Amino acid sequence: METLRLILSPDFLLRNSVYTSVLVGFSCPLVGVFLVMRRLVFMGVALPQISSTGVAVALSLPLWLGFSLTGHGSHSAHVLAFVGSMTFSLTAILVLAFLERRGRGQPEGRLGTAYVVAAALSILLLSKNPYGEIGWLDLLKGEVITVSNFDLLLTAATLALVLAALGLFHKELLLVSFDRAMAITLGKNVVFWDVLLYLLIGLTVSMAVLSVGPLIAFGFLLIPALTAHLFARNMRQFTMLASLVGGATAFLGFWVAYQYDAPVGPTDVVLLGMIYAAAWIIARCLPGNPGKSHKA
Amino acid sequence: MKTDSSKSATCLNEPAHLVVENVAVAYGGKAALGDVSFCVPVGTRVAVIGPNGAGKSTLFKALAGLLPLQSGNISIHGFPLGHHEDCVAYIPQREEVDWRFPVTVVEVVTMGRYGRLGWLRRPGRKDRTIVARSIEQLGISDLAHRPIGSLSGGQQQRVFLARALVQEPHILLLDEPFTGVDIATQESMLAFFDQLKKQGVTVLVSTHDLKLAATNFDHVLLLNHHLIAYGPSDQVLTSEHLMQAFGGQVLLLNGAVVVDKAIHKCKSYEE
Repeated sequence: METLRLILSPDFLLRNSVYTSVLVGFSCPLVGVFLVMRRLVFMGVALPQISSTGVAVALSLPLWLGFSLTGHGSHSAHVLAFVGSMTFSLTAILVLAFLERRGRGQPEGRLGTAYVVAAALSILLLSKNPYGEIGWLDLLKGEVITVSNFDLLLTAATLALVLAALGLFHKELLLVSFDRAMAITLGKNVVFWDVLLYLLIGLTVSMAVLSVGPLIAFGFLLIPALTAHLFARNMRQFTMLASLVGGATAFLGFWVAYQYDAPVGPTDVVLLGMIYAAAWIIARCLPGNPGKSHKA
Repeated sequence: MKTDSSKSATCLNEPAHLVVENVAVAYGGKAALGDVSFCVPVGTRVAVIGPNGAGKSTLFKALAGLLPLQSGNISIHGFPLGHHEDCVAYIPQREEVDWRFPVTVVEVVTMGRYGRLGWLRRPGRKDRTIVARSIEQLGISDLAHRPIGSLSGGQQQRVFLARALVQEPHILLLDEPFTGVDIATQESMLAFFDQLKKQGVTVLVSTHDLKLAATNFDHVLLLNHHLIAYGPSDQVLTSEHLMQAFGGQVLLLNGAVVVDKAIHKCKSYEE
């Protein structure tokens, strides 16, 4: 309780970290539900990793091109990281989604390879990089410690944008995800809506990776959505429940991690896993629960 | 295989609703339909019959504008396909729908109105009234807030019919709607087609049930990659045409034609 009061106090030292984790916790599941429903779960695993490779590549650019980042290395490094992360995740989701649609080859194999190579590459690049020292390796491990006001603002702004787009275009995004054929017969431009959805997913993922790291990002993308899917009867319940599970776990995770002096990211993900397991058991036991009929 | 030369004559005295001319379509890289031509008058119920893999689903997808034509034309009310948006309602085969999706009956049926709603517009009172009315008409009001994954096959088919109904289509395409549904649903679907006919809606249904096709539809279209015959059932369902369409699956018993359902079932299982 003492810890809780401390975390909630406005002059708590790691205040920005709490806010950022909770924001990410709330927002990742909002796009995660689409990944789960469109059977792109593997994409949710690969994408954050690819996005963090983007960060690593961007931060290696000064090294390769022989210029140095001025100032304290933080602001310009952050902008560079932001651009790298966005470029990689947006390109990756568009290419991978396109290949997925064509339905050739082995999507799982492709995504699995992309994941593992991206993970190895980002660690490799950052370990050779002087800027890697400034918290980026921590980020890859899932330590949410250094969140600047700038980071927090960027996260909040991106998430507001994603939230607004998801709300405004809910009906189109639902239609192309649930019944693409019908969307076409109704004269909707399905490619446009698909790309918009992928852009929103890519944007959220890059933001999450930049502020909390790939491990938490994919934990929050997938596990809350899978948990909510066990109980949800309609899309509204599905989205709200997933988002709620994500946000609450993010807060709880921070609390537990702070209390026991553990890294936040891994704590969050382990908690999410435990919640999913408990939810799965509850869903099996509840009579008349729609989750029972789903084959997840 | 030769196509019937009298195929386009059926529209003679009635206004043509749907005209298909020399259509060829490829599916999965293979030629699925070639040189298909027929013409459907307004408010006609057409049963599309053919063996598995004959291109029935491909034809429906092409009519719905989901597959590109390699050659030929499809026109509706004299305009090319896609000219009137949401004029064609298409109900896919059951296995093409993702039943895990957490959407309720009302949500699915409301999607039928989305074609009339532009960007940023939400369904209004009129849309909700139409949705409620069609749900009631199909006898699924008590299921309105249930997730679709929890319904029976027949109930799910009714949901999709209700959704097609709120689209207020001119042409309704149903791919294998009688597969996996109970007799009660089948009966109410047939009654529903009668009602649509009175409203001038043209209905095309693919089915394996020759008897149903012969007794409950105005026209029968026999298909096996090419159009074999099209017209009133007594002219189409002849032993000669059926032999042409079904080949080894047809048995002639004392002059009566029997399509071997066992072969049919095995084939569909393999697919």
